[in-house]
Amino acid sequence: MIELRDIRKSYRIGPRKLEVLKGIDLHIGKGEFVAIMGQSGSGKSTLLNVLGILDEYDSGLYELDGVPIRKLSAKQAARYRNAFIGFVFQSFNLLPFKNAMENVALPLYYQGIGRKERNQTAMQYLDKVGLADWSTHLPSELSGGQNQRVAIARALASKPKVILADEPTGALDSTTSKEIMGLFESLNDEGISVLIVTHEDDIAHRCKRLIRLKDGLIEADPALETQAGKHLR
Amino acid sequence: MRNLFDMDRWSEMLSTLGKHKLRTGLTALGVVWGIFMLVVMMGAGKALENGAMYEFSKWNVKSLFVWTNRTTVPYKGLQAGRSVPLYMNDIQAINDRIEGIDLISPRLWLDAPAITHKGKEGAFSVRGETEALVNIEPVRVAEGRFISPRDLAEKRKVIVIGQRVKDVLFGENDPMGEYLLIKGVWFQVIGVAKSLRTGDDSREDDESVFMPITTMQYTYNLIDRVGWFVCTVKPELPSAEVQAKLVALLKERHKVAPEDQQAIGSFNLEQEFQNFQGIFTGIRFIVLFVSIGTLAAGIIGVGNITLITVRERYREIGVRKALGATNGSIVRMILAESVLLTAISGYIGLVAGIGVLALADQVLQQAGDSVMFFRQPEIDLGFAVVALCCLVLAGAFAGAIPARQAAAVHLAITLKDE
Ligand SMILES: Nc1ncnc2c1ncn2[C@@H]1O[C@H](COP(=O)(O)OP(=O)(O)OP(=O)(O)O)[C@@H](O)[C@H]1O
Ligand SMILES: [Mg+2]
Repeated sequence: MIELRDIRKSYRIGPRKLEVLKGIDLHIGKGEFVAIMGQSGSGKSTLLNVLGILDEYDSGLYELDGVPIRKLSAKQAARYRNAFIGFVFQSFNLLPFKNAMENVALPLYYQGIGRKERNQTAMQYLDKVGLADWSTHLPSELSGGQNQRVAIARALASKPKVILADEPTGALDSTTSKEIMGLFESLNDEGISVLIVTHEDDIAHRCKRLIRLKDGLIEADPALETQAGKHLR
Repeated sequence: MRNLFDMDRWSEMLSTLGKHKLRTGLTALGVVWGIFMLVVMMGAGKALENGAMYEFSKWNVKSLFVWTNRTTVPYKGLQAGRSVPLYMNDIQAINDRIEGIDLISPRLWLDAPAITHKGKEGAFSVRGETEALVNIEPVRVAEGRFISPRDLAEKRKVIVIGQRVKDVLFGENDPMGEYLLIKGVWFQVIGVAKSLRTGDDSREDDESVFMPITTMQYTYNLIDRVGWFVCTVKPELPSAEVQAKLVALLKERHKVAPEDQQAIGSFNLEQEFQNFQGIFTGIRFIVLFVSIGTLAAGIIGVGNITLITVRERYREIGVRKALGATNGSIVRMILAESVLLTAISGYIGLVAGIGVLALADQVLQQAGDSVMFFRQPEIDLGFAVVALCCLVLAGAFAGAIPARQAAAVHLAITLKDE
């Protein structure tokens, strides 16, 4: 469902070019539950931004659900983001002046869905993450774990092909982190593809596939290992 | 593009504005104040103009007032410092020879002689006038009648008394038909006059007694004498032209040097009126200039605050875009917020300004005629509507730069976790 071939990306810092992704080959199928690990600065977030069409890449091939993601107009990019991808961020990125239900309903607003249906759907997903009773609360009135649940409900609301989560438990304590991972697991059990960037081993090991990034290259990927029959680690 | 009247979009926007009360309030304040000041200043300017015009409206604007002084230039063997007396034949000559004179009213006066009635006494100026006075000056008849042409022809010993004269000499009693003694001669009261002038100016008329000028000439040994006179010019002719001819004629008749500026004095009300109109054109211009400045400041304020708030909202915008907002929808959101904000706050300022003007109008009306030169503060509703439309445009303009910045926000950077 996600197909990356020789993806390269560099940032221009003054006169120099900083190569961040140096040729990423990656295939992620439907319903996979993938963790991406790697040292700070190895390019994890950059890779996730490219996957999420939040950023462009320099060369290579990226297909999402069979659609080539290359030189999209801003409008197309917005539409694909809305239709294909659900984002979960470390700092939640909820709109502080909207309550839980309104936050969850926001992607549906950009799909042109009417208010009533929007709010109904939002309530369904809030219920799914166990926060139906908190629908009218503002983010400032919710705990970190609750906020992340709202964010996950929002990511689910537009029925995306894949959920991309950049350190979703980075701002949470270990108990809450486990709960959030439990939520991701149950979503994955329902067949939703999930991609998580994390620093924590115990988070990574609850995923079904672990990809290690080092200096902009995939250092270890069980999927590759089975293909090549190699044992790198 | 979804249509403009999409309720959902409006409610999304209103809720965003409503949930940022401080930000919204601050932005609105500049525009509210700008429009409010504009309305109040324009209203005040208009009130000044209305007040002045109202004062003028009591007079015949085509009036010329003419009097004489001592000469200042020797001429034709005559020394400077000679007094120039006016006579009835001067009035006749003006009537015959100056084209464009409508009414002419010669005048005489006695300086505050004692006037008595049944033991009561007062000192009032006594004026010899013609029937034309009420058509020229702001003096009207309150009771009885004014001097008639027959009174003048027959030199009748009749008088019209001012309001204050009546109060002093008659109190609550009816003055009509009563007799007053002025310098040893009895006169019958035929009417009471009232002044239309405001404030202190009205006292001059209210403390006067009016009699036919012919009666005064014969009774007090001033035969053919004229103290000064007032005349009106036909509407189609410029007063200044007639004034010049009239003064030249008098100079010629009285052997006054043409270059003598003092001997024949005259005052042209039309000229004064035009001067005032010039002043008000100036005031209107200044008000407009200052108003546009104030408004421009308000609009730049909106632009500035929008720009700042857009910076603060980069993350919000990033989130919206990550969730599928197009650049267009972000631009429209910022623009529409700015337009809505300026329009609503402009409307509030407009209503507040008009309210203050209405209140001032009420107070002025209660004060009646005592407040001079300030009357009916009001603004042109058409102007208000135009101003509001300009504001909406300005709101769009003020929002344009911030909106484009917002759309250009780089997603990966704004959404970065700190
Ligand atoms: N917008 C940018 N401009 C320039 N350099 C950037 C930009 N974003 C990231 N980088 C650089 O690219 C490299 C990879 O960054 P990236 O955020 O992908 O790392 P990461 O693996 O997510 O690290 P971390 O674990 O600390 O989040 C880093 O050296 C970073 O400084
Ligand atoms: Mg990162």
